[in-house]
Amino acid sequence: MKKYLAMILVFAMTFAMVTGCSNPGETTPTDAPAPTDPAAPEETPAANTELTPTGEETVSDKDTINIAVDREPATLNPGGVMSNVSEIVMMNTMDTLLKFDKTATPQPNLATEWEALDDTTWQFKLREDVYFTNGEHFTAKDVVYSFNRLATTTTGPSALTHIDLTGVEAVDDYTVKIKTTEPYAFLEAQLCQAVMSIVNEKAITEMGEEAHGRAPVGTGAFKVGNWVAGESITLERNDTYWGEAAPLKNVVLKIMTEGTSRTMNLETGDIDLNCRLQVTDIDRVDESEDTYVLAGPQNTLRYICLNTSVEPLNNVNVRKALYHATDTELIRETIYGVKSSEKATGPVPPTFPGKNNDLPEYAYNPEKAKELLAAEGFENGFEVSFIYLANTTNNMFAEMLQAMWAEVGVTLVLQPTESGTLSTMLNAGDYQVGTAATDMKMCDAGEGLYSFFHSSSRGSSTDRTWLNDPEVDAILDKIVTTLDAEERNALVYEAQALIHDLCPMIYICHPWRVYGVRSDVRGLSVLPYDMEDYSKLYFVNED
Amino acid sequence: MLKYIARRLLMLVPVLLGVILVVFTLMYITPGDPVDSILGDNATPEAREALREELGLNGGYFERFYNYITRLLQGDMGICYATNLNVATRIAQTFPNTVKLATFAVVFAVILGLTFGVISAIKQYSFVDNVVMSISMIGISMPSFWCGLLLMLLFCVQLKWLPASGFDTFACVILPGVSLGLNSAASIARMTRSSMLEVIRQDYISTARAKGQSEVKVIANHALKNALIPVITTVGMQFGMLLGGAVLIESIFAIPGVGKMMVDAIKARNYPVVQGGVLVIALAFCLVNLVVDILYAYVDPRIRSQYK
Amino acid sequence: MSAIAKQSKAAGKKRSKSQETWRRFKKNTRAVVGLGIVAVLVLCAVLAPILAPYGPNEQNPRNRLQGPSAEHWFGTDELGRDILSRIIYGARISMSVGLIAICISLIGGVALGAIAGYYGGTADNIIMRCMDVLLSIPTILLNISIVAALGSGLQNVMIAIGVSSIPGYCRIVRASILSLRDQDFVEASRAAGASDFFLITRHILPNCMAPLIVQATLRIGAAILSCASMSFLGLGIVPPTAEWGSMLSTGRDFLRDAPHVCIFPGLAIMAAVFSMNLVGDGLRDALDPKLKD
Repeated sequence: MKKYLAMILVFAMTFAMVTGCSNPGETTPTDAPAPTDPAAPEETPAANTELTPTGEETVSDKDTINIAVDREPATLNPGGVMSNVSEIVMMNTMDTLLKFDKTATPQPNLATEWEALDDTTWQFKLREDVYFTNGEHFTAKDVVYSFNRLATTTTGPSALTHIDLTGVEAVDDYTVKIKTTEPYAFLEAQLCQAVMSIVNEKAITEMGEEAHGRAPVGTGAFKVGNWVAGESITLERNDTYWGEAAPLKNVVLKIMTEGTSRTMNLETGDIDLNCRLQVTDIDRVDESEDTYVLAGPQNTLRYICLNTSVEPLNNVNVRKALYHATDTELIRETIYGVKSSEKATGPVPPTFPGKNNDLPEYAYNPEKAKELLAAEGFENGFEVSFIYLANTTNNMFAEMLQAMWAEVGVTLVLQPTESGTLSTMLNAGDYQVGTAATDMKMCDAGEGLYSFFHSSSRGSSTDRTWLNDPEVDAILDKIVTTLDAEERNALVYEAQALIHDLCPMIYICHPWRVYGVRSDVRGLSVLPYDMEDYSKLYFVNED
Repeated sequence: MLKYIARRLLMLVPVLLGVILVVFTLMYITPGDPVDSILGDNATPEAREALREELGLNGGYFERFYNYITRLLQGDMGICYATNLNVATRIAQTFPNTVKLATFAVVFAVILGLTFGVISAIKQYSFVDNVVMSISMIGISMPSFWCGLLLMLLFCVQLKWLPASGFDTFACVILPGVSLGLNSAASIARMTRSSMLEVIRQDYISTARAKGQSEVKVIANHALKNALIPVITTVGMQFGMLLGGAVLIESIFAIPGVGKMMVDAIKARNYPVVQGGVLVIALAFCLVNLVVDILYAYVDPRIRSQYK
Repeated sequence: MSAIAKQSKAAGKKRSKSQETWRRFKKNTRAVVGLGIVAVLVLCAVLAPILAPYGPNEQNPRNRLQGPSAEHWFGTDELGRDILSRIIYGARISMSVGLIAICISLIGGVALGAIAGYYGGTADNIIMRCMDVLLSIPTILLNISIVAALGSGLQNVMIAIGVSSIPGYCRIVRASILSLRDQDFVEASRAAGASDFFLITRHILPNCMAPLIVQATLRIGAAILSCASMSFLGLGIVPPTAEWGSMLSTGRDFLRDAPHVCIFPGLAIMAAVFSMNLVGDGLRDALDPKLKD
């Protein structure tokens, strides 16, 4: 009998020793370096969005870069199933009329200049020297076709409701007129979105939508080459590109869904750039001599949404109590990392003008939460359900929230859900407490607030709070139609205060985008709108 | 023999129909709407309705089942919601990877299992036998996904000898193949041992020994050959099981195989892929069993005569 | 000989048979080791609140992912919970999934197998083709499809595992019944006017208990493994339930920094399956000495 016991022990311990104990002391979590200092998470993390060239470097003739992306796009057609990766590929292979710069301000791209003819009509002058990769000359007709197409694609997104897609008009070969359904302040920002990429009618008709979705014809710095399903997509340099030619000939996007394997492949040099570095790997990649880390804020918000249309969450004091019961900073520190996220004090990310920094804080205070609940007749708490996308990070999030709310007597029933069901339930308002699959993303503060909190947004993918408040609606309506930026920002400031007072969501943080980069890669900048520009990447020689 | 094969192939039809029915029904009652995972977050209600109509998701149970079967009979397995590709194309992309993985696992399992099984049988009740049998018992009990993680930790993270993901080079197949095949290797070792022991006790082995043949020759020529028969069944069964076990291993090592595709599809309510995938795996499973039965007959003339 | 006399003789034989089985089982060291481990696990499951040093959901995020230490023998997990305590509580989940799933499949399998074997003909054909269908879908895929259809939760996991392992029992029962159906004592009882139900439950089933018990013991291990596999894929068990497979699944994300989060739950799963297999093997040898190598 002893023999067998010994056998089991030896077996188990060999594994444990070889795998676990060979690096004693390294088991401390990398992203919570100062567990004894609760003040640590308060500090604002330092953004490092670009590497400053030293001037002593020489450009390498290496012309292929391998980049790890976290998911495979379903299609590359604008207006098809959009995901972050598909948008990034579109941005690098196609062009939009306008393009955000590094501060998310719209700049000329395919359109060189533009003006508002009246409150709802805009005229754009187009570049004349642009060719599609199939050889077709880019003209106003392509703009008309692209926007008309969006109105008819069944998979089209709904965020474009303010633009009259079928009313786009070609004045001459290089001039288009775009109409909005009412005065619309965010037309320029919308025209920068990947979904507004310009496609070629001839290409789509000849290839068919499906084939075009696998190898789209665009005017961008790269074109889509070989796409091996489940493995990689190769982007090849477009030699007929109208702008400055990209230094690299090939960009290979390798699909790696596992965060750990993205980091390990970065360490071995099998990939040169990890577009989504896991929080747990930041220090390791930062400390290594072969790699460096770039990180910067995004126009996003991670939040817990409270459905303001259902009992007992329709009571504003209950919502405030729940906010007070939530230690948002502990969640941020544990899950999003103090070095890769920023504390959220309001719904608008700090990257935007018009951000209201004077909002009162619903500080973590279980005692106050209990008092508020008792005052509303919930001395014994209540039970609510929490729906979220089932994955490790969200499970941790949910379990922490459950433990925190349990302290004030609120029972949180966890409902981990797969993405399809999650959107159905959230869109239908069939939930009490939830967190969306993706972070809240905005292309403009006012646009964001409108799509999240305006009562007409109910049922869309952006409204997660089911808020219906006439005062909020009125000010948001005003924001959308106010074309003067300064005036609009003042309204945005005011709207935040109104919304914050209604407490429809619990802000957790503004997560950052973190890149792990091989030390010989240059030219990457962290853009605040969740995008990547591969046309500036290059390699330098290392000794 | 041909008649037997034909009859067996014919018997596949009702089984596969049953498989389709079971999976279709399960998917039908599964809550959640594939349209939401297809359109993502930004779709209008009209766009959803239109797509639902286009995909034929609005019909009743029988109507949808009838439509699916008629299309299937015309060779159309439907469109994968996630990639817009034909399901047949998706399976053609992923199935070879799974087969590659399962084949490596089986080969590894057979080599390891046979070797240790034979050693164990020859040295019955010795220390070596005890060690081998204990390890094989642990091997059977070890969750393959845990084994995969530990191997990954050891060979990819600590020693950095092998890649942790990807599936393009031979080195990528080793770890997943080994973790997948370990359970089977243990089963085969146990089967080989007990079947060898049975054969060794038979008269003709004693006769061969009495004739003065060397021990190695006796084992190789007589004992092993006859002991192989039950082992073949085990191998066949294992191969089928490995096609299923690949689900876990593929998701650990991020291998673009059928198993991973199916799990993703079930989560995303990607019905055509789930139905098509299960159908193909079931077909492969049944065919492997058929091949095993034929091999069985080939190895053992006594059985062959029954099939005529 | 009257049917009653035959029956009482069979009962007498059965009692001595179980004693005989226990005697043989005791001699098998491997089986006794297995039984010991099973006993420990059952003890953990029953006495979890007393044995566990911490609560299974007691979080301390600022002390997370710590390696094994004096306070936390198996270290802490991603939310600073004590892994040892969670493993002890996890035994409850695994043991109950194993037992209840097996009961479901035993009841289903025995009923279907008995009908198929006893009545034969069309009923037999239909039932066995259904079993063929279930067998040709890989268990894990069948399990996750069923759980997807029924929804997450411990109960549904048990049902899924139970249903997918019905065919094994069904085949065993059918085969034993086929061999017993036409034997003298059954014939005699039938001639004496016994009903089919009486015949099946009183004469035939007791005679196929041995392979059933062995199969059931071995399948408990498989059921524990199935449950762990499903939670590993993120299906079935809902957090924060301390289930070994889901602990392992979460640990995956911290494999490099804190391998202990993965190692200990894995050991627990292995110990459970290992012990069930040893007991099952031991039982098989003890119940049917002919089967022994």
